[in-house]
Amino acid sequence: MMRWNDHAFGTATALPGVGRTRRAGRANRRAVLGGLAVLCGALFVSGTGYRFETYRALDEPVAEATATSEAELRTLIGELESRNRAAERRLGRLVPAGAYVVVDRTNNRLWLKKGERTVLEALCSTGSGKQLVHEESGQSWRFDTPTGVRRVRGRVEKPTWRKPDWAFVEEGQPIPRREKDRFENGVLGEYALDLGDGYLIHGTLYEGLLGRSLTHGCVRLGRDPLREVYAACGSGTPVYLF
Amino acid sequence: MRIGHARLPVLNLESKPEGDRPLMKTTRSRIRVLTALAAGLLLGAAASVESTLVGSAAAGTAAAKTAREASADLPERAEQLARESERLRRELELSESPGPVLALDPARSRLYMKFQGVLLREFPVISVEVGRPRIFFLPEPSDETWRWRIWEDGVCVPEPKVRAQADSLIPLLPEERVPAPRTFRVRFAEGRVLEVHSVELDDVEAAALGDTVEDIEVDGTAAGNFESPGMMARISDFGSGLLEAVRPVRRESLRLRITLSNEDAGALYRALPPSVRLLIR
Repeated sequence: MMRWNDHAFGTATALPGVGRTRRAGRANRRAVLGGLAVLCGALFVSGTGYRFETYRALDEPVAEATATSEAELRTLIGELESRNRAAERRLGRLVPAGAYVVVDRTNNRLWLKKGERTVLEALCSTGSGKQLVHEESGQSWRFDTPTGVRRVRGRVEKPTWRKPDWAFVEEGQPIPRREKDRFENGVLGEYALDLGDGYLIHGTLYEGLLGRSLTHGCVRLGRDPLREVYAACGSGTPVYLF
Repeated sequence: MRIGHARLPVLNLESKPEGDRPLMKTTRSRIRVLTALAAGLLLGAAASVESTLVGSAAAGTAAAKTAREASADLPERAEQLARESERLRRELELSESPGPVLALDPARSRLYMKFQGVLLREFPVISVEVGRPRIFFLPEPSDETWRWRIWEDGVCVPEPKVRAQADSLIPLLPEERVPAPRTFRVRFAEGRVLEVHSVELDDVEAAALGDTVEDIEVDGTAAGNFESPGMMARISDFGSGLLEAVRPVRRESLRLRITLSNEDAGALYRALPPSVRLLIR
């Protein structure tokens, strides 16, 4: 018993070095396993995901040519050439022959173009996107510049603005009953190009605010660009708004 | 004394006798010269006849060779035209879209925004890279038809949001109103993704990028050194790519990454229409 106790005691006291060694061994194993796990994880992470390569152009696979003889090949080539010429003509016809205007309403930029050539790039201002509600009548307006293609319907020098209802609502004034009370001179700049539905390309009294979205849907331009656009764009000129 | 003159009167080689020189010697040398000349003329004529004959024969051979080569090139030419025809067909199809569309031309390093065939805006592209998913270095099956098909139904992620206007009389600028992230993606149908990175360019770099379309290498890398995307952007891209690759049901099959200048990337982000279509030229 004593011996056993001694032995038991001895185990606890006489082999502390062995216990430490075992604990150290376990710790080492854990460290090695942990290191391996980290390494595997790092390898997995570095080898997983997207691998990006610089783009290289490759030829598109084409359907196997059915032509076998030289004569058939020549006929096929003739047909393809003719088809491609027709397609190029069709694509070419999509671009207006004369001047046209492009308006980027999200970035407030306007370009005057002739074919693929840019004649003018200018800052403009487009619709604010705000909504106005007339509490009395419940009528509401959203001041967005439209998208799509429009055409210049008419051009005016020294335009007079016929103020719509929202202009009075916005100013907190009563909507006038007499038509003559709606007209205001000098606020639209030197020229105005009518795009239909009340939308215009016109000038501004506040050139410092160009480049910001603040209009009621019209496209405002500075004095010099407006002169160029007015001179280049007659009735029927396409205006692309995006 | 007059032999020389008498024998060769028409040649008029010598208008007057040469003083003390022996006559026979002079005559012999004249004869030699004349013989040499005649031989030269004969040789020249023969050579010219030969060259004409050889030339015509060579021309005939060259024509036959050209014809043979032309015949050999016919299948290649037909393939080239078929490819061009297919490209034009897609361009026409794209031009019939109801809204603005995108066309990426890696060879010219340009991204075009078009509407019904009309160029609305073009963006100089600094680099074009193709990313394919992989797991533990093993490539996952990816879509290889992306180059030759129109990408449909593109949706911008994150969606552009208009910032509320503060109580100020001066409206916000476009970049303040709709701030663009440094990286955004346009997710198309069939798991194709256009990833747009933006980098800061100084004026010189921007001018170089805008002006040197012809100098841009065909592999899509523009001339000049540009700042690479920031570390946080890289980490974010890496994390999103990793998560996407290990997702049980993957939403993506391919990422096409383009790098634009900050200004252009922002303008594109703000101007992207809903359900945009993309064609890789």
